[in-house]
Amino acid sequence: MNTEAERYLRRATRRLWGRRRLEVREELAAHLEGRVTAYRVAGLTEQDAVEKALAELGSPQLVNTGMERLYTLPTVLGSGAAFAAVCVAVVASLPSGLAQSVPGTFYWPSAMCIKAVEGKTVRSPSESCYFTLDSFWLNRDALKRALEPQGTVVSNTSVPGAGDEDGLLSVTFPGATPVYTSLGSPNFYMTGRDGKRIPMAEGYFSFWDFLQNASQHRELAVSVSGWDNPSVSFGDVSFRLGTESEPVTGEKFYSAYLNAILRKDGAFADLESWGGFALPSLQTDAEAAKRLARLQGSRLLETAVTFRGATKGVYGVVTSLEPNGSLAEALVPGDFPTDAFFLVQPVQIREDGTTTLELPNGTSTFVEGFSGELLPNTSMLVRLSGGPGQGRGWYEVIPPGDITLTAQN
Amino acid sequence: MSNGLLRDNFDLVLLAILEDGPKYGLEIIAEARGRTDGYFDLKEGSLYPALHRLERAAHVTAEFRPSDTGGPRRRYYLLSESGSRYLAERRAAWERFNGAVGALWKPNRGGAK
Repeated sequence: MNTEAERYLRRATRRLWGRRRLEVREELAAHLEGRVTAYRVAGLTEQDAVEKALAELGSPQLVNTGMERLYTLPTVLGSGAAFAAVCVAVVASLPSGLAQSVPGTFYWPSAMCIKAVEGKTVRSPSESCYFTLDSFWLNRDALKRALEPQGTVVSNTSVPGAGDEDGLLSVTFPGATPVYTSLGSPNFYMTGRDGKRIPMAEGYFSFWDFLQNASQHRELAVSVSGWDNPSVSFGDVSFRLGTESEPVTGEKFYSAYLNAILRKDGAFADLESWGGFALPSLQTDAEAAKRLARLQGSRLLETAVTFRGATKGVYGVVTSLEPNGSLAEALVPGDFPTDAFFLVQPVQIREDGTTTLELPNGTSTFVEGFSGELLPNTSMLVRLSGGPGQGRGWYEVIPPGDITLTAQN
Repeated sequence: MSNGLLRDNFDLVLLAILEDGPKYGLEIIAEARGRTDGYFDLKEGSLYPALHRLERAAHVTAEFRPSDTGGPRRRYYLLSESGSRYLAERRAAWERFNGAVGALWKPNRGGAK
């Protein structure tokens, strides 16, 4: 299939999971194939036919939003996963220099996933674990109060046929076309840390979906910076996540960021096509696995790795592990119910472009994937802060040629 | 037609089209356009989420069938028993509404008292 069509299909299905994602992709591919064939018969070139067929389908974001509302939010939020919430604040950096504080909501992972966040093993990761690992929700009204003084219009909009009228949030930054993102289904609620029910109808949306959607706008420079209470900017508009009393810690924020990337098939595709690099510490053998097994619950790998050649900022290391290999077995006892397994960990790279990596540590999470084509024990380094540039996505895979590894034992 | 009217009756339009037998997305669009002389010009980007919503509500079932052109398999939608009942209810409600509005359009023979 044409590259442009491939890109469209990836975007249109990016928030869907497993079998459902493949089915929607195949259905849309069949639709495109039918329309392209018809236009070719009518005399159009292949390129023109594809462009016309894609234009008919409309924005992949809107197709994706409609599907996601059906398959992602209701399924997971309705599953009774143990969500715990803590109130934080979105602090607007106003042009006047005055900071305006408005409440937002940050949902911590379920108890099972917290174990993973703490660097311990997860016996049976499930789909809801992915979801909760990357759960970071903001409130529409809080965002509105933070952004409107900076000339940004925040409003509800709708997708005909995709559900209720309040399902989509439209955010128009100065000089940019609207960024759309889906609101949580009004039919579901989450349980806060204090046991209070928080209805999604109050206008909550996933920060990651919003960040990803915004970063695809060529006219908008999107970037995240800082570790604790990171700043987010969209062109000249910016705000900070968290306050001193209710901080959004860098460890949790960037761990969730990495998990959010892994939930989208784009990250898997990058790892597949790019190949990645091998961390020396993961060249493990049976003896090493036994040693690792004894170390469960504490630091599993004592080998540190130094990256050289990256610039200062926050990065993520994503490592695919052989599902039934000795390392995966050491980390996750019992049968692993999937064909791909990842260890992800955020890392801060210093001014001189170096860092020391301890795998895993308290910021590591272990997640399952759905692709069987990954090279086991292969890693990629992903830049999270700074942003890759306008219209180029919300993370950047660092080419292996730009990285020098130095193992330390 | 106005977006509001189509949005409110989108399910009804789709289920009515599937009443004649299983169809895939492109066929549904062509059928809607053809049977209404272009009045219902369904947007593809809205169609698929709506069809999946109907499937999730168990008003339709879906199955993949091979394409006759050798391309990717097509996903056919079939009206379910629940969908037939839902369509009949919606249709009856629509006809009642239509009749009532039609009565309002007619001149008031009794005249104002």
